[in-house]
Amino acid sequence: MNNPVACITLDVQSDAESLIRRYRSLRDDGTIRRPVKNFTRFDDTGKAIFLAAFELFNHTGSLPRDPSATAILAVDRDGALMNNTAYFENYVQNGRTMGSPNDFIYTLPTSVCAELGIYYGLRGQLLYMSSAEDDLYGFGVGQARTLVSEPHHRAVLLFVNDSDTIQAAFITPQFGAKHES
Amino acid sequence: MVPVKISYIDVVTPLGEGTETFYREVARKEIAISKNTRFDCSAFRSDRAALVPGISKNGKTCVAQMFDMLAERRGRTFPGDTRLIFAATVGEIENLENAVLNDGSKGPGSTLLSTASRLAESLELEKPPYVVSAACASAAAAVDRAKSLIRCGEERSVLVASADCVSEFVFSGFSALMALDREAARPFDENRDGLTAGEAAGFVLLEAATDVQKDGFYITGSGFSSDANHMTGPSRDGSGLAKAVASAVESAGLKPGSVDFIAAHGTGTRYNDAMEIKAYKTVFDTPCPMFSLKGAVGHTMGNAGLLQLAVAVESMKNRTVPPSTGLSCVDEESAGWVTERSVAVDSNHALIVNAGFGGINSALVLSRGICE
Repeated sequence: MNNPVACITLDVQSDAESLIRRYRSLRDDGTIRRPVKNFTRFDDTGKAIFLAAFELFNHTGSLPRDPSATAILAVDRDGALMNNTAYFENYVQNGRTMGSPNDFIYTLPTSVCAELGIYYGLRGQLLYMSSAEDDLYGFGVGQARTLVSEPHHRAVLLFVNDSDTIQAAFITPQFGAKHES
Repeated sequence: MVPVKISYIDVVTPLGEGTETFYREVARKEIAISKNTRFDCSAFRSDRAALVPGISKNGKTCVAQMFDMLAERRGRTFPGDTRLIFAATVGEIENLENAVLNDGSKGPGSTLLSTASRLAESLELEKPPYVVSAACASAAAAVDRAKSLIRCGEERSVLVASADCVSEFVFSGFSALMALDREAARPFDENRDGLTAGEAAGFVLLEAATDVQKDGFYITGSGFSSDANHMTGPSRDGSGLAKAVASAVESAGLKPGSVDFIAAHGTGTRYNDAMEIKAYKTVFDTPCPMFSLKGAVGHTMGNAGLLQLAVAVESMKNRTVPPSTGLSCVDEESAGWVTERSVAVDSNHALIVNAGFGGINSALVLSRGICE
């Protein structure tokens, strides 16, 4: 039970410019109806996670039925390393007197989950996890299953970033997997 | 449902090592906040911080030194099949700081997962470790994950280890956000003006229990939500936190009136504390004794929930809820809730509440000798 209702895979070997071009293209064709605040500030993983979310919802044809009970789980191996490095390099270059508040808010591994929650109005749990397990996607699905087994969550939006690939899945307590691609 | 018992809990804090020592110092209203001597603060909004005594520049990170203290106190003996969950916001961020300052690299070894792997190896735990991060609710989220993994039968024993330290990285960020109080933090005070950076580490071992013991301590409920409102500021009406608190109480099979006290998040920022008290007033019909530790040891970031859990356990053992440190003039909205002095409470159920960046809200229910 608790198989992903939908799952998509997104190759994220692209650089930041390619991700931004892809975002603009999705904006132009109407897939992304509202602009994403601070999209260009996200690191490459954050940009790719947002794009994966758009593709996932485009694939399923709808947003989660109960936004207040939909959790977001992000899984990878590096956390916010790229954003942390960028924030601290910028702080050092500016003479170690003042950090950028707009960069600082993206130094947590849950920052992009929070932006996704704000964008889609999802008000369930926001969580980042990592593991040394070889199968990181299997680990993420397993954790998502235990999240939806709790009474206050009806769905989990899962993003797993491993080996330059993002896998996004929508997991509910319902049986069955469909819409996989 | 399998009862999830707290088999062991220990902390290293700016007010000393061990849960008994920490509780005693908090009950005495001791304050560990003083001038930050770890790095130059002259450019920042505040030069105050709460540092753990005995941490030195010896080549090991602050987090590693705090974990060494905890491991030494325990004697490094945990069941070999214990699953480690490391909880933090930025963890061993000094590795990244040093790398950027010294050679311009990205700081190998500065990821949360690398810290978790090193700790698991030093404690001789066989299973690959997990990492949980949920801003300043990281420790609470890790305890909840541990509870779920034990209840669903995947794990029998889970060690939650959490730690964050006072670093130039975090200090500069909160200073830029104008979130630091120039003096020591004053949670729930009328004149509160921000948070104070603090550091701490803790271990809590959670295990599947075969039965419920009268004097045992159990995690019986949890609730989580997000505001979906703003990246740094909480929802002004406290509705997100109220939802998490109500879910936690309900999942423990309780009514709000059964909660005996609240170990509150209480950062000392104007918006957090105002939001928090609004949330409690939404859920509870009558005031419930509530305290914050952050006027004593500052905001210990991802570790905050574990410190609150430790003090909640000791409060139940001692049948006394400690005072909230840093109060001189209680905020009107918090009057009747926040404890100005120790309060004798023969308690069975406590709430541990946290909130964090991104609008993350969490609540855990700690119960003595009772399970659903």
